[in-house]
Amino acid sequence: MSGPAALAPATRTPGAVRVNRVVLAVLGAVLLAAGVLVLLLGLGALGADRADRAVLPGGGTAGWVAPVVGAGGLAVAGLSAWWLVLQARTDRLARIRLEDADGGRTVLDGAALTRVVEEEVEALPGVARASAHLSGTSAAPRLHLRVRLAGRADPGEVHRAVTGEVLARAREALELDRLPARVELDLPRATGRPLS
Amino acid sequence: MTAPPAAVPPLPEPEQRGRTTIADRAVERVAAAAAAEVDLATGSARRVLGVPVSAADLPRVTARVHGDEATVEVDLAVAWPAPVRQVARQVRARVVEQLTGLLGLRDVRVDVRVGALVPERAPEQRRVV
Repeated sequence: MSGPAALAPATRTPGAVRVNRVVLAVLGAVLLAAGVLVLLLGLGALGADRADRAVLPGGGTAGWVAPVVGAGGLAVAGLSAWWLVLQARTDRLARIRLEDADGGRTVLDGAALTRVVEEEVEALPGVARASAHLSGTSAAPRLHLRVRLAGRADPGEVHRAVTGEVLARAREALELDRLPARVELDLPRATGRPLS
Repeated sequence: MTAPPAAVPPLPEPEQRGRTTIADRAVERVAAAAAAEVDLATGSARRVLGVPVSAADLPRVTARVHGDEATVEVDLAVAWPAPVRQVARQVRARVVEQLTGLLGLRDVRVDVRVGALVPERAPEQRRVV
């Protein structure tokens, strides 16, 4: 099934995505190594009586065991909390800083831009709903636009109107030569058909 | 040094005779009116959870005055798709001009926050009072 879900929402920061890959790879390697080690132990590959002995000498009653386990647990908890916090960080842009001079700064609410873009797109024929958000940086913002089409819309026509007119006006307002945009056209299921 | 033999003792320097203070409120009024004079800038309605709850007539201004310096924050809407940065510059220039000219402030910093972009209405729909 290939719906809009096939396009991953590009809202996480590139840094968070990289950290996720590394953490998952390391976690996978550690678990794999542990599994292989236990398997080898159980099969007697590391000495026949190894599997029958206690994991720790003395059955884990030595004085250093509890502090070490505690410290290890704390470290795991800390790293997990850091990883969790990282997931909440997105590269959504709430406001665009247009100018920061001695005389004062100029800030544009991201919602102001997305609201007017949504209104313009929704005013196009064949569009049922539109939602937009910004990402990137103030100097190089990116626009994400999701457009739900009404029954008998021509997706090509809507796409041309969005990229040709609405995005041109957005560039004009922001005085940008480039405003990379990601436009998702969402077709109603009943009339869904591939873009030629 | 001896005092001049006049009946009236000389007045102290003007700065020592009293102080003129300009209220924040006065600066806010003047700045709001000045900002509204810029063609492509208007007020933006105050929004709570995205729902407009106040009329959008004049830009909202908050100001803090220290002596003859002032920091002014202007919250306004800009006509779409006018270049926002240039409209903000015009607003800043106009506000500084009026505050220095009318109130005699010397150092004015104007921060502009654009809270809405409003598509331009057809001329007959625009109400001029």
